[in-house]
Amino acid sequence: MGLNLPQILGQLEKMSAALAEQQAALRRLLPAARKAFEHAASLTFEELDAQVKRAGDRYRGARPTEEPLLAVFEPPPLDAGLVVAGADGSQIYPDRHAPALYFAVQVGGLAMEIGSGLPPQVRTQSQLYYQQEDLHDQQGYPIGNAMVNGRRDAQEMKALADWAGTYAGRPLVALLDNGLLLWFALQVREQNQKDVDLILQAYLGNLDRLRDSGGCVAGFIDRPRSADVLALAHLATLPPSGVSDEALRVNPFRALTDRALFEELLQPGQRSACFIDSSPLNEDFRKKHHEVLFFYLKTDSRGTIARVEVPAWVAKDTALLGCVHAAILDQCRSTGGFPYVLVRAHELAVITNEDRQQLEGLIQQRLLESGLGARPSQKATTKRWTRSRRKHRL
Amino acid sequence: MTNKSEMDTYFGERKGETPLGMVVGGSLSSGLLVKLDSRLSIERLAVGRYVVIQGKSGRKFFGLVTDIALDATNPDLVRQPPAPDDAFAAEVYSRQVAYGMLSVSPMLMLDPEDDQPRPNKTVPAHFAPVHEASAEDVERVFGAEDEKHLFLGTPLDMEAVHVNLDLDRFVERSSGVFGKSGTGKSFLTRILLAGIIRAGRASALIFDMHNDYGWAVKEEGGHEVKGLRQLFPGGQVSVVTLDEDTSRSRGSKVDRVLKIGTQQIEPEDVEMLSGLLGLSDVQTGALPFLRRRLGPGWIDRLLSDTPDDELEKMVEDERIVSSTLGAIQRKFEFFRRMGFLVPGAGDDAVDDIFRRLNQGSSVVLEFGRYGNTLAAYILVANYLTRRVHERYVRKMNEAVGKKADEPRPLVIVIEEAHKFLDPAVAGHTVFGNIARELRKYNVTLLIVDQRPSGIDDEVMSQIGTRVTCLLDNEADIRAVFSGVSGAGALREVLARLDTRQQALILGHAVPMPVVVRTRDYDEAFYQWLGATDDAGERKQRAKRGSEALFGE
Amino acid sequence: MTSDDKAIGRVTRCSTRGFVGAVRLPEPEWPVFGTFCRAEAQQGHSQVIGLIYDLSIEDDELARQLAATESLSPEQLADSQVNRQVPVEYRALAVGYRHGERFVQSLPPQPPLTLAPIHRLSDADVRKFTAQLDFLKLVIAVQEIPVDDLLAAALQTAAAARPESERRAYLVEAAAECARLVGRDLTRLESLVRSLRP
Repeated sequence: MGLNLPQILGQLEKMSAALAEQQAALRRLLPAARKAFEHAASLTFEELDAQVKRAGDRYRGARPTEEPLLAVFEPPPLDAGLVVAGADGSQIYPDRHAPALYFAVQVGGLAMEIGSGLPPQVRTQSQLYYQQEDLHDQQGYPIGNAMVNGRRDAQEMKALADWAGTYAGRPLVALLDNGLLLWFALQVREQNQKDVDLILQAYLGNLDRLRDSGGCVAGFIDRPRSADVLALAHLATLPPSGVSDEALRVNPFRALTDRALFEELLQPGQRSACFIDSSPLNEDFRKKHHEVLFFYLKTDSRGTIARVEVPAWVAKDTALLGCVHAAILDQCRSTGGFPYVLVRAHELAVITNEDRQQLEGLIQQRLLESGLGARPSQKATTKRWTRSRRKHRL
Repeated sequence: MTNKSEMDTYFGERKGETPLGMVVGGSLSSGLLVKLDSRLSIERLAVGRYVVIQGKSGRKFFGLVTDIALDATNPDLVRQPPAPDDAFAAEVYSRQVAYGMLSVSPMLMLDPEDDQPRPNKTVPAHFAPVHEASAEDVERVFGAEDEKHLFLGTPLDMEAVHVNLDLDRFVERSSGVFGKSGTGKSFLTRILLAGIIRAGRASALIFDMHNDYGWAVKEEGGHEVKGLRQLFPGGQVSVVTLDEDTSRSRGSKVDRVLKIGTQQIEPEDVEMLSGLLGLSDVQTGALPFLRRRLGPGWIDRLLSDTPDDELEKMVEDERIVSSTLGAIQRKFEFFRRMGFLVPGAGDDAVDDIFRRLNQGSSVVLEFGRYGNTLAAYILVANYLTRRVHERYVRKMNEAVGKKADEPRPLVIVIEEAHKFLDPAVAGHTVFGNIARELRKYNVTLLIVDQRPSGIDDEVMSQIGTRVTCLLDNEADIRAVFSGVSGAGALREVLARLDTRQQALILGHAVPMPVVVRTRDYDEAFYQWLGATDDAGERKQRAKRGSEALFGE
Repeated sequence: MTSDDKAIGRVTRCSTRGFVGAVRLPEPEWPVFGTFCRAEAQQGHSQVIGLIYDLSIEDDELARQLAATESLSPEQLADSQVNRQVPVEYRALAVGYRHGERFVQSLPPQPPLTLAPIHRLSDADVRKFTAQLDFLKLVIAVQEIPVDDLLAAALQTAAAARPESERRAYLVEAAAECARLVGRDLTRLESLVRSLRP
């Protein structure tokens, strides 16, 4: 049976009405938010920094850098001979209905020598995980999807570091289709400290390699939903005495995103000032000299806003930062606001449903060949029965 | 051929040999259509070749390629051929779309249980494979050479095979050697006669118009070849000449000089000359009357310069018109020029010749310089033939029931035969009679002619064996094939003979029509004939000769 | 042999008349029109021999996006043309099957298995399979596909699998077989023969 459309249709109308109402409410909210941000900008860095410190560990927002909050930056010209690399990954999550328990990660990447006219170099790396220790956490429970994501993200960074190694000594911008912070680590650290730390160390090690080979790296987040800068604006509006957990929680701009704010503030091609991510995870990164900073960038004339994350050693180096800025804009020109290398990296990495079926077929076949009984769970089988097929036509 | 294993090899199956093609259609009367195997080059084939067709029932057919054609599965191909410079397309098309067709005239068939091939009564089934006949196949058809079989030549492209003529059958009926001038008729005739004489099957009376048969003969190239008298010095051949001077100057050995007394000439002898002498019907009609009134010396009296009372009286009595008589006399002046005509009763030449013939000696009548005068040739040929034939008829009638007393078979050889056998005269001349009466009196004709169309159809149809060199006149070709079934197919073959030393033989004396390259008339041939008096040694020599020549 | 052993996709749909294969490959590795391929059938007891006659590129939005943009860089263009694993779908006509070591030139008893890997036929197998020409009539009988172009491509492929010295003779033989089959239509035959010229 398909979707029960008559039932859905009625709900759909209510949904669109609700959405319209939300949009209107947000638009009404935006001037106040902007005003708050302008207020924050009027404060000195020291005043603002003091306010942030006042908010303490519980504060979940952006921390200012020495760049003025309202500053906008035009992109510098693109370096000739720049190499732009991109990496993206995909995965097959462990499925207890599958013929065997495993998971897989596939990372695709490519590196493009701007101005060379040559086809980019392409790499795809696939990895099957099937060992018991890969599949279970320290308590012996089956691992969750977050762990798989973590391994994927780490592989992505490794791919970028590999590209930087390949082009060592040449200006290189490595782009990641994600933020730079390994979010999974926050999610699953409790259950699987040892593995998480191993992965995190490998990740940071790859950032070292990237930096050491002379390249720079940026995480590209399309359509960011974060509101870190707005949180900072809200914090700035509070009187020094009024900074409390309670006050921080009643953020009137909560429904808004930074994106809405910077859509108004940035012209196409311009980037915002850099901010520091205040996630506790960033402390781990900072300790390893990879503290993550971010800025917003209007990637195209239609006003698409992206959040770009860079490690501190990039953010602090005007040339490197400019290089990232210019490279991302150049990459976005033909693809409507999303870096080309990431489009292609995704394409190289993606594991389709069909691929997955094929893989499972092969696994089943190999297991049978080696005398191991293997078949999908009855549930998986019945699902396949009911999946419709196209007729062969000739 | 009675041996089973030999039978199996008769037109044996060709294992591993690619057939020329297969039968795809046709009929008994119009011949078979054979689609040529695409792998074979049509250009390698030739009309006149033999093929063996393996029938589905085990019966085998022997046929002659009579035509070669180009055909196509799609008739539009002629309008839409491949590009002229496209060798690939040409090769492809010629494998499938375009192909060669052979017309094959089925000649003989052989049933598995038979030991000799028989004339064809049916055709092979569809798609029967067709092979080129091997030398062995052809050899079997034409039999072995022996006392009564004359090796006349070899089929085209089969030098090792002998086409042998059955001499008994050859002389049994009248025969003909045809071909336009310069195609080697007289050579061929000489070979035939030499064969007949050697085999002793018959005597020949040869009216040798151009001195081609008796003594040394000059070839076109200037090379001199031997005449029959030289080839048979042992008395089997006599030369009788009409022109002693010429014969002597040629160094010809002459056995007798023929003189004909004017008194021996009868009106019937002159009748045949009427056309040549320009005698009108009235004038010709007056001859028997004149003979009756003037007696045996009628010609002498008509030619005499002294006045003849009786003639004058006849005119006075209006028994004959003066102008008619005058014309006859004027036209009879011709006889004066004929040196072989002597006034008076003449001698026993006819009896002598008959005797010679009957004793087994062939007679070559050399015309010497008279050969250029057709009238002389016709006069003498007619004169002698009538009298010899008369004696044969008499002798045959006397010998009824007594085979041993029958006169020896006689073959009378005449050249320019259409002059004797044209439809206007054939009905009532001795030659017409001989041709028609077959071998009733042991006399047959061998006619040598370049214009067979001039010969009366009825006579032509009685010609048992026809040996034909190249003819290019449609009417002549038609005449040669008159009365032959399936002749249409052979016409192409005939029209494509070489001008020299090739002949199509068909009829009574061969099992099937055959194109041959005629054997050479040369030293080897002389040797085979064994020109010596001693019969025993002759045989020995002949044997040795044939061994050396044919490796028997 | 490595290139022969590498799969060129998998069967997605099939019938005894033929099958459809799909694969994501960069352009240099796409199968070619007129390629002989094989796919397992009957639990691996036989292999269906297919002749690829239609290649199509499945819907690809990136290509569409890039085509529309004015600022496509040379590297991006080269990337699309050389590197991108474009989803290719191709149709193969069943022209025979292999049973053990024996090739049979008629429709297979069963279609290949779904998702059976599709391989190029090795040169040696192409030679062996195309030694007989009965498959031509299976091709000619098909409607609504460019039969003549397919024949030409297939036979040129078959010829190319042979040593140089045998090619012309093979093409002549094959073209003659075509002539037998389409000899009624000389215009068609003419162009077919032209396309078979060595």
